This record gives sequence, structure tokens and C-alpha cells, in this order.
Amino acid sequence: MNKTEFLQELYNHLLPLPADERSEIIADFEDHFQAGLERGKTEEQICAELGNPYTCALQFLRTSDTQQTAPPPQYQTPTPAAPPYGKSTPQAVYDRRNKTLWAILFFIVLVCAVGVYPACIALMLCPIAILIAAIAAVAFVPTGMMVGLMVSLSVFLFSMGLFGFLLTTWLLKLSYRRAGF
Amino acid sequence: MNTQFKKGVLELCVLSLLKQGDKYGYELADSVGRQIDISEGSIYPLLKRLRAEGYFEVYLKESPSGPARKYYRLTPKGADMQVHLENEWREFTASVSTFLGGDSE
Repeated sequence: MNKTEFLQELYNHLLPLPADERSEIIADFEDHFQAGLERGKTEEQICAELGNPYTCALQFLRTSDTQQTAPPPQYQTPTPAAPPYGKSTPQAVYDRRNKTLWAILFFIVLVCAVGVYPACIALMLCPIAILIAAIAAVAFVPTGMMVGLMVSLSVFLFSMGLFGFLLTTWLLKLSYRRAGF
Repeated sequence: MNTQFKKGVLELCVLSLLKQGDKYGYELADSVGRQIDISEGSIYPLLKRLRAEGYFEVYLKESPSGPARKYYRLTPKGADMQVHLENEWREFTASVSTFLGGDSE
């Protein structure tokens, strides 16, 4: 068994642990390999001295259980910000791909927002213009229908503007958080 | 030697090693592994637990050859624990040895 195989197996068995705890453990073992190699040992020798990664992982899991520092694994929410170990772990690849997608979405929304925000603000300000127009219009053609039309048009345009504004802000925030910048 | 028995003693070994001075993970694992026939990998779960229990703390120190290393330092609580375990060990081995040697009555 070599270093990569050892660390990969250890990582897989440590999956029930929170991601930050897991990456700290992996980092400790990477340091161990580093120190051993500096002393002229081979990766295989170091692995043999370390013993079975599964037994080792079990001891970590048992320690974590007794401390009650972490909530039970089944209630854990996945933490996308966690630095995963190795390329071949499906979860790691999934996390990273997901993050990239959110980052792309964030930039698209950001570019759109440049145009959308002024438009939404203009829409929300529309009722003022309509009010002025209405005052002028009513002075000449004082009909109830005209007033009704103006009021409903104002409400419609204002809510469209507000909706666009809130939707863009929500999308920006969501993609920013999911991308884990 | 029985694995469970060794594990119990491991705690005393690690605490005693740290009493002599701060050490990093590899040094601890290597020193223990040289003397006691045990998987060095089981040192790390032990270190994690003892640290969580406040027996020692960690700090990073630059190494001459590469990246910073994680060093372990005994806390006063850890030093007390070491004394306690050492006394227990001495009493225990003294008791056991009364059954062993031919020179005791």
C-alpha cells in the first residue's frame, strides 16, 4: 500500500465525521508521511508501521462519538466549503462541480443585475410619473375609468419593479453563498 | 502483549514523552512505535482525544526542511494527569511483581 491508497482509504472511512475534522486528520497523516520520507523511509514502510487505515479510522470515529462534539452523521448538512481530499472521491468531485456552477450563475446574475437594478428602480418610480400624468389627464377628462386605469397601472408597474429587485437580490445572495467565495 | 492493555499504557507513554519536551506527531508515533509493538496509526486518534480533553495544546512551528509542523505541548492539566498515571502505573506494577519473582514471599 502506498501513501495515496492509505490516505484515500482513511478518508473514505472517515466520511461520517464533519468535513473540517476529517481534513485535519488527513493533514496530520500527510505530515506524518512527509516526516517519514525525510528520514529515508519508503511510503510502503510508513504504511506498514501505521497499520490498517480502517482500524485507525474506527478509533477516530469512536473518539468523536464519546466527545459528542459532532451531531450524529445522519443529521449533518453537507458543507460545500470543505476542502475535500483527493480527486477520485465522488463527493469531492460533486462538491467542486456544484461550486463552479454556482460561481458561474453568480457572475451571470451579477452582469444581469447591472441592467436589471436600474430597470426595476425605474419601474418602481413609474407611479410618480403616472400620478403627474393622471393629475393632468383628470383635469381635462375627469372620468372614473381613467382614474381606475391609472391606479391599477401604477400598482402593477410598482410590484413588477419590486419583484424584479427582490428576485435579483435573492439570486445574487444565494449563488454567492453556494459558490463559497 | 494484549492490545487493550497496550492501549491503556499508550496514554501514559505519550504524556511522559511530552513531559520531556514539545514534540510533533511523527516524533511521538515513531518513539512509541520503536518501543511498543503497536500500529503507529493509533497514536493519532489518541492525540486527538487527549487534546480534546485539554491535556495538551498544539501550535505550528516552522521546520528547517519543509512546511510548518504541528507541535504538541503539555498543559498543566496534562502534567497532573501524567503524574497521576505514573503513580498508578508504579503501584500497579509493584503489586503485580509481588506475584512474579521468586525472591518475594
